[in-house]
Amino acid sequence: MVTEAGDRRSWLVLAGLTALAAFQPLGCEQKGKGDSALGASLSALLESAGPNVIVPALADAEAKALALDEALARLEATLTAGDDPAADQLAAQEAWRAVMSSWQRVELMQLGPLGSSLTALGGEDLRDEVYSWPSVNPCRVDQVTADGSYAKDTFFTESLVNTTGLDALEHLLFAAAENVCPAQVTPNADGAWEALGPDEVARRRVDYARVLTAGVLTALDDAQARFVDDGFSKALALDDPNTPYESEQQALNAVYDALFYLELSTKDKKLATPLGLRDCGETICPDDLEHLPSGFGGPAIAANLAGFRALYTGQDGPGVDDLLVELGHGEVNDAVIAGLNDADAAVAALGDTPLAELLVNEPEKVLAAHDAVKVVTDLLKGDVATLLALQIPAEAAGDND
Amino acid sequence: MATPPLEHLVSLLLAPFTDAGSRTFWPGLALTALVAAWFARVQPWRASWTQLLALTRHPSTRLDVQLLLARQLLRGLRGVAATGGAFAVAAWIVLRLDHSLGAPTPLTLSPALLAVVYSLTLFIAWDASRFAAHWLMHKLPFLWAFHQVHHSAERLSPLTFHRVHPVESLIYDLRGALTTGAVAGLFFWLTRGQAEALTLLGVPALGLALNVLTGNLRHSELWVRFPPAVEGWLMSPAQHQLHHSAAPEHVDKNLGTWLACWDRLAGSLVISESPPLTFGLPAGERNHRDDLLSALFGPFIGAAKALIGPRALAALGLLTAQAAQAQDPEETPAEPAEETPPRPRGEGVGAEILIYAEDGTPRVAGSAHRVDEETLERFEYDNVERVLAEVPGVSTRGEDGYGLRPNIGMRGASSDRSAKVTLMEDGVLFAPAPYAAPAAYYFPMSTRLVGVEVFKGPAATRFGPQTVGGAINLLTRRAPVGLDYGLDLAGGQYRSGKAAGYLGFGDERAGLLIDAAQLSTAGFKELDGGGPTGFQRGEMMVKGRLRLGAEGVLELKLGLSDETSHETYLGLSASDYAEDPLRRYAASANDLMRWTRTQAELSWSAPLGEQVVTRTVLYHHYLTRSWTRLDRFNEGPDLHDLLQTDPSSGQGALYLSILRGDEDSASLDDALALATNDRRFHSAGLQSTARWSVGGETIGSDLELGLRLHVDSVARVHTQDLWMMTDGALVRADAPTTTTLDSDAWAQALAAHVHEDLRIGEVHVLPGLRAELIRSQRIDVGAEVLDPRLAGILLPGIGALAPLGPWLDVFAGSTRGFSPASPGRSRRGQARDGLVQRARPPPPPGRPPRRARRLLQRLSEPHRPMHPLRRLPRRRHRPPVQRRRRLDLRRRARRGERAVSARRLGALRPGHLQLHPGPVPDRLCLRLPAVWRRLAGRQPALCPRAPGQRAARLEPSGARCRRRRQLPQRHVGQGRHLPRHRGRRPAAVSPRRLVERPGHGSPAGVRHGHKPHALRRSGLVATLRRAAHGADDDHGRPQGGTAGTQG
Repeated sequence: MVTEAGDRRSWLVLAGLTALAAFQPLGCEQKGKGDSALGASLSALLESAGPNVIVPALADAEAKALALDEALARLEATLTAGDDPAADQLAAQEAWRAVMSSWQRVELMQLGPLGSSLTALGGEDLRDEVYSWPSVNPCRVDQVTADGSYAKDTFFTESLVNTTGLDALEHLLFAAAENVCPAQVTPNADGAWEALGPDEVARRRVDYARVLTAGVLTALDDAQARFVDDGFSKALALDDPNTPYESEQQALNAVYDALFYLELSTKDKKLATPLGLRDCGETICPDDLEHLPSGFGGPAIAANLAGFRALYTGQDGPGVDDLLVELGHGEVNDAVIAGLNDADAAVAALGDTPLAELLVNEPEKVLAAHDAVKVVTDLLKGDVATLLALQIPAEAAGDND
Repeated sequence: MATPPLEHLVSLLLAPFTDAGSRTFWPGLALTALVAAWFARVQPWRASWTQLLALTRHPSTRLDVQLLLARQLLRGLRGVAATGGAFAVAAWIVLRLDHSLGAPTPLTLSPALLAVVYSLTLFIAWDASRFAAHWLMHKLPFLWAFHQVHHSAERLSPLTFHRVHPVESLIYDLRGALTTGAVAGLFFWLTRGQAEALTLLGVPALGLALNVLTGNLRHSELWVRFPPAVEGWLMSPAQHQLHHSAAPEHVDKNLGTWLACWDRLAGSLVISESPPLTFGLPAGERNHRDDLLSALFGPFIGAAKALIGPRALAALGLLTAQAAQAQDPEETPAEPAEETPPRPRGEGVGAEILIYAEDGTPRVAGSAHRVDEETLERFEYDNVERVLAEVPGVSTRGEDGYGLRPNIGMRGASSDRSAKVTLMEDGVLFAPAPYAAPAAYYFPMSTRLVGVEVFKGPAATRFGPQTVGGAINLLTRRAPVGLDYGLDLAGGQYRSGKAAGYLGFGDERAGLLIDAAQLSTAGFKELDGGGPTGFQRGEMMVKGRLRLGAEGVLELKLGLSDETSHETYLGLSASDYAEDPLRRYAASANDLMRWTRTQAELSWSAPLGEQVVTRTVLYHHYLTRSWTRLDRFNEGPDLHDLLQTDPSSGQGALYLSILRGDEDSASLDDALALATNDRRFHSAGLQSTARWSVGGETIGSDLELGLRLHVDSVARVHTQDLWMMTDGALVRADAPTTTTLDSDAWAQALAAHVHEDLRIGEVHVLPGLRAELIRSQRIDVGAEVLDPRLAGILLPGIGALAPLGPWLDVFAGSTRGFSPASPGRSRRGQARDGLVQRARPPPPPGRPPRRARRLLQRLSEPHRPMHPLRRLPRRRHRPPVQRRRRLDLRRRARRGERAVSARRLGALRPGHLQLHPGPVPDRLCLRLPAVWRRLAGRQPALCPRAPGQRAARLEPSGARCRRRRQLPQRHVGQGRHLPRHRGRRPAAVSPRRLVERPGHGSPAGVRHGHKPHALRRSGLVATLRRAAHGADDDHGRPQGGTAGTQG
């Protein structure tokens, strides 16, 4: 039984609800399909990761590389003038450290064009063009120095990554005057190295270093262009029709894989293996350390942690920490942040002493750093992975829904 | 980015019709409209334009529309993510379980099976929770105050689905969150994120299908029923209409959504008989009028009254009594029969029916083919794969191009290492260890073969243990009577050469044969940096024959074989292959296979009387093998990924250059790991067969009995060395040799078979039975030693062969296939391979095991007719009472009366009807609801009862009682594998095992369309699985690399 007045009131109520609902701000549209509960926060993270985290890190590295190029130019001028190059050599080394520190932050952002073409969706190996550790070959660098092939226009197209990048620069700037090749191979077997003499070797090394720095600058420029001009930042947010990601979950996977560098490389390769905890047939394996010529291992790990924190927190924008909070698990995020803080402290305790020395004299400090980083990575591959991977299936409507 | 208000509003209001998860998704509405149109044509009193107009104008329908709009608008204002609550529940469950119990080892189920299990669990959980919530809605007055908004509908239409109070919607959302979260969380924890529900258009497929097909009919006035037996399990639209009925006997009935089992348990199930007369609620019971404001606020008043009134207490007391009410046995629908009767004689299951009847080939229970000596000599096949390519049903997969390691499969069974085919030479198993390690790394040279017999299907029951595809018997030359000799010399490209010859002489009493062959080639591939890529292979066989006594013959066969082959599994990248397909990378320079085999067989053939011939063979084979091959980079990318990706930049290009020898290894990280698999195989046994032949021209019998006692073993010692690529050559690295596997496996097997060839005129009937009893064990050094396993299986087979003229034979047969698992396989792996594993304690003495009991039962059951109504003459044998009731039904149908339920007829009550004596085979009879056919003028018929069924099913005559397809039993001896097991390891093993494909026989870089393993290793789910596998510190890579690899 319904009265006319009642019917009118009903339609009035509906009209009011319609007006309210029409102008209710509901936020952004969902991109991609997925059953994740992450919703708008995930979209915001993916939109922000490129412009707020990765591109600024690349820009910072580029600025530092430019400074390195200037330092090398001064060193080259000093050598040409025949003056004592010691001070300029030190300045160049310092400039390299600055670039390396900046780049070690970017090591935690290997997704998209920066990722490996073998493992990452949309990977273009741009990271390897800048820094290819552990694929380094100092002997090959000495061979190129001796034969002068670095001066060719086609050097970068013909060379492999173990003769270019910041790893080769490290050898050129920090290695001793002698080469590291065995006696039976060039440039020792044919006497080419000896024929050059120390001065020529030093000059060639600086020339080679300048060529490599130019290559690093080009690679950094390419990387920024891929993220900004070519819109990989948009592809990451699934705003680009050519995105390699089929869903937001896949894009989140790429971000997660980038963060997982902390486990695979920082914890395992840079700390656990030299400590003899894995893949080491001896008590310790100091030869497997990163940055052996420069002794830059400790600061590199500190920079890794900084890069992890940048991508994890999103810098000034939304990050994985916001995702965890939105999912109602802020305590997991708190644990990660606390772990990061402890890891920063443990790595800072290593100081500037080369890790090779610490492994022999104070291995407990290196072990403490390893354990502190492990706390973070355990959370990363445990609770964080669980919460980010958990997908809830949608339910088809049943009666009374 | 916010959407424009109008667009947002429109999408919000249209969501019930455009959202695939909604009941009123437009395809479902379209289907309902079609059904309504059909009803309008056939039953005008149920559906007509006039009625439709009246429906749309009814106040109840108006309120349906208003509530639909109000709910959507309120949902838009609420803006709560549907999955938020469920996620919280699931996350809580997973994290609590992780922290308290740790991450379990993920279930090793195929993704397809896991998806099905997950989807079904979700479906059942959702349905059960809906029933529980709906039951509470009806039983608790406080909740009933809100739920009656839905029941106050006096006219039903699909929009009535949306006639729900917002508070009730909230309660159901909460129910959904709890249920979904619990199930999703539990499955996530168990499978570490592997489980994914089967979805269609983003919603569960089963729910979508049910919603589209029948969902909207539930809230309609179109009387659509299911057969009573089906309605006992699946809610029909008619049953839900009864739920909305105003009749007192239908109150609180049929509360379920899709499954009716919950109502059966609760005693609230009503099978649909006749449509309800009225819908809705009595006037005195309603707490609202048919306008929106009243419907929204009236229930609050009603709920308040229910909470504080005395009725609340009384209702609770009533609730307790109702919960104890027993189920009405008459309502219980028929239980479907559990037993599947055996197939009556004469019907096949689609097995191979092709047979080649070559002269000299014995008639066997299955397809058989013979490649004779003339064919072999004509084509001079040196490659046994080319020999077998002639035989239908046999597939071969080449690896090296020379047939050194043929992979033979039959009838679709995996061809990997010919492990699914019984391989024999002169009737004796020649695989190195057919039971302990079925992979065949030895194959006789085809140069010394004089015939090849291939047996498929039931024919393979004479041979074993592999009966899935069939058996291949290679025939070698026998010591001649007289002088026989031959020499075969050949040469070819790539410095290939063949020298084969034989010399035999003898007389009736004794003979001797020496047969030797040598093959060699430098290989057609070009190794970077030079080096051999070919092989040398030699075989020698000596046979002696001696007649002892009147008829007995003693034969001795000795053999010596060896091979050295520089073959590799390493392929090429696509670009290198395009440039030079015969190239071989420098990294494969050290790949080398060497083996030596000795063979000794002593056989005695003698007749026993005039009709029985026996042959007994004592044999011993020994093979040692050492196989060195490139396995992987020590710390670099997967070889297959590298070759398939063919990178031209980055570290990938560097590693590819190392493979080519263009770049040196700089450290142990990019060193090359070469695995050396040393194995020793022993195989020995004693087998005896007896053949009894009797009969004359019209009828005859060849009965063969066989018995074999066989033992074999394999000792595996696998090691790994690191090599550095230096100046284009491999140089041993300064790293110790690591042992990756040290194990011993053995097997003892007792096999017996009986095979009969019953000849009746030209027709042959060929039953056979094989029994295998296998005891095996694998011992891995450093691992827990498990007790030896004992397993047994029976393998029946039967065939019939009938010639139709001089050039055509017709054959039909059926057999049970079997493939024994290697010692050391997991229990699941054993079960899938048909190996019976007794996880339960043995049955009490005197009571045979379940499986054997069922087999005995099947064998002892009498013959069952195919269909009683077809086989029995209608007038003579059917009891008179049946005929009377059948005529009565026909008369009623012709008069167009309403459908009469089976129960009302009375004639179909349990015990009242016996269609024919004896047990009835189970049938799956009805395709459409009987009422449709009846009302269309078809005569009803009676479906035979299945054992245990209490009421016969009503079925329109003319609809055939079709035989239910016999689904194969998966768990015993069928040799059927889950799809992912066809020749491959289970998908859920560690990523490292998946990576080791080259060891499995598939050359790296050759597979097509295969997702790179590296991509499967990345991501959140892969991380969770790695952590659960305990590969915490090695990221899915077992320490030592190649443990357990076949190859």
